Amino acid sequence: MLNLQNTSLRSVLASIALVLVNPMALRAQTAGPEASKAAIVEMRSISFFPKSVTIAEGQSVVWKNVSYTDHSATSDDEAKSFDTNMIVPKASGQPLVFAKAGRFPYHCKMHGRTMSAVIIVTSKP
Amino acid sequence: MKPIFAVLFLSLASSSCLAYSKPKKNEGPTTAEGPAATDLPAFDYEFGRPIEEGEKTYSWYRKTHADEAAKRLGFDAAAIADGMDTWHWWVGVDNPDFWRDVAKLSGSHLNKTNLRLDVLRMLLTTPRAERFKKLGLINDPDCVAATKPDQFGLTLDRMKDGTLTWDPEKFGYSSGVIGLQIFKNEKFDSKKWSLAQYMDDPKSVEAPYKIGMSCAFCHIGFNPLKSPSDPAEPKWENLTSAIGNQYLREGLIFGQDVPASSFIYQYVSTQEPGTSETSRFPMDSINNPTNINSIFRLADRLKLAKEERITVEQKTLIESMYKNAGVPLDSPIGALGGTEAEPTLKVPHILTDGSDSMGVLTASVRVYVNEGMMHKEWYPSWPLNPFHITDSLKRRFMPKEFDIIHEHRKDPNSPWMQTERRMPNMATFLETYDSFPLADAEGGKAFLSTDKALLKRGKIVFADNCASCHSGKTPEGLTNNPAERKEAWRKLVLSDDFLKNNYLSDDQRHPATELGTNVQRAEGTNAQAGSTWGQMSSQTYKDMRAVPMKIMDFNANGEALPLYNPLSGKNDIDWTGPSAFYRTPTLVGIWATAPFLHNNALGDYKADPSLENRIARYGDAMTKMLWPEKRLGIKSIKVTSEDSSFPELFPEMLKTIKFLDGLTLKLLYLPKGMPVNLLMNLNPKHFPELVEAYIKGVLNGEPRHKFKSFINSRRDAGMASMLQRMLELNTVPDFIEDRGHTFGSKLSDEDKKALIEYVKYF
Ligand code: HEC
Ligand code: HEC
Ligand SMILES: [Cu+2]
Repeated sequence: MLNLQNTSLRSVLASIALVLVNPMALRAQTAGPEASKAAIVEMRSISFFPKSVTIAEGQSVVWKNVSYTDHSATSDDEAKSFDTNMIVPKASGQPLVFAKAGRFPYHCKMHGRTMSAVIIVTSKP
Repeated sequence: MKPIFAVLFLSLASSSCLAYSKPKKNEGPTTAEGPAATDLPAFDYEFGRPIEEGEKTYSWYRKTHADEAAKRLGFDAAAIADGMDTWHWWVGVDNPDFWRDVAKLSGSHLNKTNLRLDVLRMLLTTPRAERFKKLGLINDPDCVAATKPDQFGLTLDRMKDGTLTWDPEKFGYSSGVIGLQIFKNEKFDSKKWSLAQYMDDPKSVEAPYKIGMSCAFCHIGFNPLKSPSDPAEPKWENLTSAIGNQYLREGLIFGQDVPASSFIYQYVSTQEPGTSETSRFPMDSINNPTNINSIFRLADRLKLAKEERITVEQKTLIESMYKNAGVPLDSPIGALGGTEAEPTLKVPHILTDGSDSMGVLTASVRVYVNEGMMHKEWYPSWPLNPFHITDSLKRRFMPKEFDIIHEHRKDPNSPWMQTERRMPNMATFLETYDSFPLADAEGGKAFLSTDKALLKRGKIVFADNCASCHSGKTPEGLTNNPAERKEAWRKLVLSDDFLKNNYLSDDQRHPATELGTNVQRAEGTNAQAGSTWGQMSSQTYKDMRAVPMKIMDFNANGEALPLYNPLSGKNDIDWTGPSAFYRTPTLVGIWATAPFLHNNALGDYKADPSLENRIARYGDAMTKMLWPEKRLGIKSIKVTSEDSSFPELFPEMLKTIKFLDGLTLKLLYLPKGMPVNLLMNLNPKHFPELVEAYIKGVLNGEPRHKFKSFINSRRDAGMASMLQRMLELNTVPDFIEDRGHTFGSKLSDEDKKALIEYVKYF
């Protein structure tokens, strides 16, 4: 199945994206001792990037809107355990700390299921 | 002022979803166990260039309109905005599957006609720059033409990056044409995909996208106050959502590839611009496309609603619908009344014949069905069901009711039910359009007379001849004394605020005998008991129709004549049908929406939304209305432009016809200049009789076995006999399109000119 997540971004954006998020680096971070640094997830035109981020308990996530329209990161559970509310283009949300281990699927309130992703929080050894 | 619906169901409206085919309890991602199982193909939509600084998008259009209207009317801006989203993008959940079904028909071997009922194909083969010119379609300002094929080889327009401000699973992505929304096709398999194969036979392979149709497809039009500099690339400020697309060439959308030598081309190309044949799918054997009318001053119109009788079952239905949508039982969109045993509903007369007579809620959801919502349940109600021809043949092409009373509302998550819940906000949105005064148009004042005496004369002429039907306001305490009545009407029309909040129509049904306009549309049968929409019209409407009516033409002196016979060239058709009515249309903004009448047949057409052309069209149509001798008359009959062949649509049907040795379908061609509706107004069950008439004409009394020896020398006789039979069997043999409505034709030229100037102020 094709999964061309980057096709909608223009070259300028793409280069910014590369600087900002390197999924390999993120994974390295979560594994290391300085796991408290925030993981960054980009909000793109109609997707989150990366689509799945793994962090350690106590680490935080920042959503950064690099697209041209508003987005939110809103947890899928009915209790709405987290919700950044709408973040306007070029802005970032407040860092959000994930205190407990688990799998946290989320989506954008405006764009629904099409724009969804997951944060995986691993428990500390 | 209160919106039509006292209760707003914003939350309900936004919680509905598209996954009807596989109903689930909790739609959308709701569990913490993982993302909801997705059955959509996993590929990203490819956007076009990003929006530029200061570029006005749909978000701007929605916000400016909602804020302005909320301020003007005291409505909730969020409700208006939500209603606009529904109007623009909601496809009734599953109508994309309908359009997919229909596309499959065109590829099938059953159809060798080149009729391509395929919206996706139309989008791929008609470039953005040509869509307005060829088909009158309105391009979405939020899209750009594709500069290169996408990952699947498709050259669909792309939404500008940053313009998608809704959930694409619910509302789709814009196709580039307003009102045609694209959705990911869950049946798509990238391994099997081939564009070439799809274009050859759309049935053989699933495309990555499906196309759905929303209300805006037909109803959005150019803003008469701000003409686009290029109709193919309008900006949002050049558009307005409820005026009706006056340029739509509906027939040609699917008929672009059909050669003129096919009768199908003759049929689709003679459809008036700006009309939709709303009884094309649930066919009533009458070729009666209808003007996509403007929807203005809805709140004022609702004040003119009249109580009509409905059945006890219909009352229960209304109660259940209002409950589901959150509408009070005494809502102005259709207030329940009467008694338990003899209930009534106070309704506006929706549609040009006032047949949609179960209130605004029923009418609105009904239209979704007419665009393909719950199509699987709908098909069996069609007289001619192309998905099941043998069933249609068995039924002798009799219709059935779309059964909302007993069947289609059972599942609370059915597309019908979901759509019902969206309607309150949509109605609120539709209430927000007032008018488009010519004086407010850029350069509009130049077209308006300021001659006080002339305008006063125009007002008096209007009061004396038109206002009794074309006003929502009536003088108080009207007496029966003609002189007093006249005075009272003049006083009302001359008052300064006559035009304000005036629907400029009584919203009542008037009999064809009084109007004299072509009755094909008013003779439509889909809202009759037993037909597709039988449950969605009032008992009063049905009773009114039940009385027979002799349909007449009128000569220049207003004397009644039998209908015009295109075969004899004389007014010799005596024809009686069910009673036929047209509801008075509003004259609000009438300067901008010529040609006139329910069929857009009165006045010349030119595909140009400029102010100058609007005024020119208005002048032409008004002139023809008031000076009937200037009309096309018998030249307005739709005729074929060349010899054409019978549509070879359904082999199953051909099998029922007895061809004699030597006779083929090709031989039975349809001659150039023949009225299109001789054939189009025939119930398909009559086709065998046409063949028989041809044979009889050729034989002229000789025995049948001699047919082959006469076939070449007596073709004309066969043809004449077949055409005569078409006339005899015709559902509604009323051929002159631009006749009737001659009110005011006896006035002096000065009075007429004054009237034309005054009405420009509407
Ligand atoms: C394919 C074209 C087309 C589409 C799509 C369409 N309409 Fe219409 N609409 C028409 C035509 C044609 C008329 C006039 C029909 C008549 O009077 O018989 C009309 C008239 C109306 C009217 C006004 C009737 C009146 O009495 O003033 C309303 C309200 C309406 N439509 C609602 C809708 C809704 C709701 C939708 C979306 C579900 C919709 N329409 C989609 C063609 C369309
Ligand atoms: C008896 C009621 C009645 C009277 C009187 C009447 N009209 Fe009409 N008018 C109608 C009806 C009904 C229609 C729609 C007929 C149709 O489409 O077949 C109509 C249609 C029209 C239209 C076309 C509207 C459109 O959107 O296409 C115009 C313009 C119009 N009338 C103007 C006038 C003027 C001007 C007068 C006075 C000289 C007048 N009418 C008198 C009932 C009336
Ligand atoms: Cu979003």
